[in-house]
Amino acid sequence: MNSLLWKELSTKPSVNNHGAKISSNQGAVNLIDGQLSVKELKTWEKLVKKGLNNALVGLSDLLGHELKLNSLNVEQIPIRKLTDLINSSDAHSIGTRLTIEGDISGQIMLIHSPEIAFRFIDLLLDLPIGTTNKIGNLERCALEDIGNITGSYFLNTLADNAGLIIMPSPPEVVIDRLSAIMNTPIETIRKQQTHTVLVKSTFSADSQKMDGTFIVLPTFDFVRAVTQEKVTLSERSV
Amino acid sequence: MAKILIVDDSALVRMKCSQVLSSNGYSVIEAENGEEALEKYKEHKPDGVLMDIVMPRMHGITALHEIRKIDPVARVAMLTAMGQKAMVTSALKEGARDFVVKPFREGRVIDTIQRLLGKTKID
Repeated sequence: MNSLLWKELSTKPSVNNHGAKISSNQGAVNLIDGQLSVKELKTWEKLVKKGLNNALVGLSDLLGHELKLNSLNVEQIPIRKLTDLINSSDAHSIGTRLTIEGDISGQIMLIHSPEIAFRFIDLLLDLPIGTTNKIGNLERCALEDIGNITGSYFLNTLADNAGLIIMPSPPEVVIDRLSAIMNTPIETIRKQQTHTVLVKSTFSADSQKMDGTFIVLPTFDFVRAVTQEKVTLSERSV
Repeated sequence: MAKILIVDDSALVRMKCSQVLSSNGYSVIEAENGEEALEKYKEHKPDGVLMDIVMPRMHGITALHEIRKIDPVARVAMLTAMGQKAMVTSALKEGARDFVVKPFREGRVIDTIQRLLGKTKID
């Protein structure tokens, strides 16, 4: 992951009491394109943190190593700016994408450097660390399982908060430059809005050198749907 | 020997489940998605089914619905990371007998299968 890229993506955020950074240039006034208010962003950030912690519970259980959330950034930024910055990156990465389709839509990506992805695969397949050095069918399947557990546990928290069912696509593993991995999700969001809420978090394990980046690109409708008060199931189609 | 159909798009999950069930004396059939599950169900008439939810071509809730149309007393347990409360409710309404959340433990899978087959005798 290109750390400079992510540094550039941060637009002088303010830090709230959850340690998350929320972009300071989005107020309740002059909102365009259905953007989120500061209040909505804070509600979303709290839910995201809860969801990420749940995702790490699932991933820790899968791998047999305790993973902890290191950082969380929630920012509302123009998609054009995100695209420009992503396109400037040549970092080679391994990403697992899950797409949420339907009335509320969004994109989830779990991104690792190849070295770290290999380490995750070794853990899942009970192999000595350092065994995996390429991605074949079995390794791709292992990454899909890791992405499935992480993404599903994250979405479970969001869905339960609103009494919804949120169904992701089967996971898709992409091995490419970061810009290529991110391009499809960004273009999908761009069709619906000019700004997006970028959720970027990092996690790691104490006992193993492992980390990863979890990115969520929801539509505004998605954020509003999952942060609303819980409704009875009979009021929604499931 | 009881026959169990494992339906999951993940080859790793199918392999792990298959190992667990085979080593406990069950005969195992595998399917990669809901459509294949329907074909295999018609062909093999398994005693129990472990069904994933998020799969390509046909997801697990639809496959469960279709299997129950073929066999109203089909014994199906969902095996998924989608532990959303509304999803569990939806699956139970469609006739799922149990819900195992991934990542699964060997003992949980065996317990689930034993309960599924136990219901066979009661029914």
